[in-house]
Amino acid sequence: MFRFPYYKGRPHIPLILEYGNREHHILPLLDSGADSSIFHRQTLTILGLDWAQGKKKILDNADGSIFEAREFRLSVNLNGLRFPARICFADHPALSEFPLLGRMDIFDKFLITICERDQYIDLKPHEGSGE
Amino acid sequence: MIKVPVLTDKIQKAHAGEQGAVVDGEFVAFGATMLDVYRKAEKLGYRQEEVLIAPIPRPGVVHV
Repeated sequence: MFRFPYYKGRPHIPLILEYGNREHHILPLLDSGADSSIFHRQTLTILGLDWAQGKKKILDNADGSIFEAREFRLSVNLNGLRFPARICFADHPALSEFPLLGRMDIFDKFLITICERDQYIDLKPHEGSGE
Repeated sequence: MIKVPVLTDKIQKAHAGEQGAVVDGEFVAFGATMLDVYRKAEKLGYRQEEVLIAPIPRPGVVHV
């Protein structure tokens, strides 16, 4: 089981996005309300990926607005547990401050406990969830 | 295991809205963008693989 303390009062999880021989260590907000994980477009540059090669997706925001994103299949390394996941990227400015770790391909890998009172997150990997 | 950094009120106030480079749980550089902060961390001698990029949330802003 992995335990992570909150980051400035919010449940953030440190992880590594991997593509080829490149990696990006990032601290996204764990967001059970987000269908998909979504990171700022600049992350693609860091990983050496081309926006145009991603699968076009239209996402909607909590305020009802919609915006375009591109989805890629990447390797996620979470505390040494490595698994493939579909991750979206977009230009939305809020993603710099709040990259989001959403449910798709992430939440099905773990039993997740968020302890708001004591400000920590426990992730217990399900059997066979990764390498 | 990647350490979650501790963001002090002082650092948050000074760098709100920026990105921070974290090595072994400590902030070592800040920048307006992720690319900017990687460049600054590399100038300090850190490799990209050593650096965790952490956003610096603006204080007092409620995320919904």
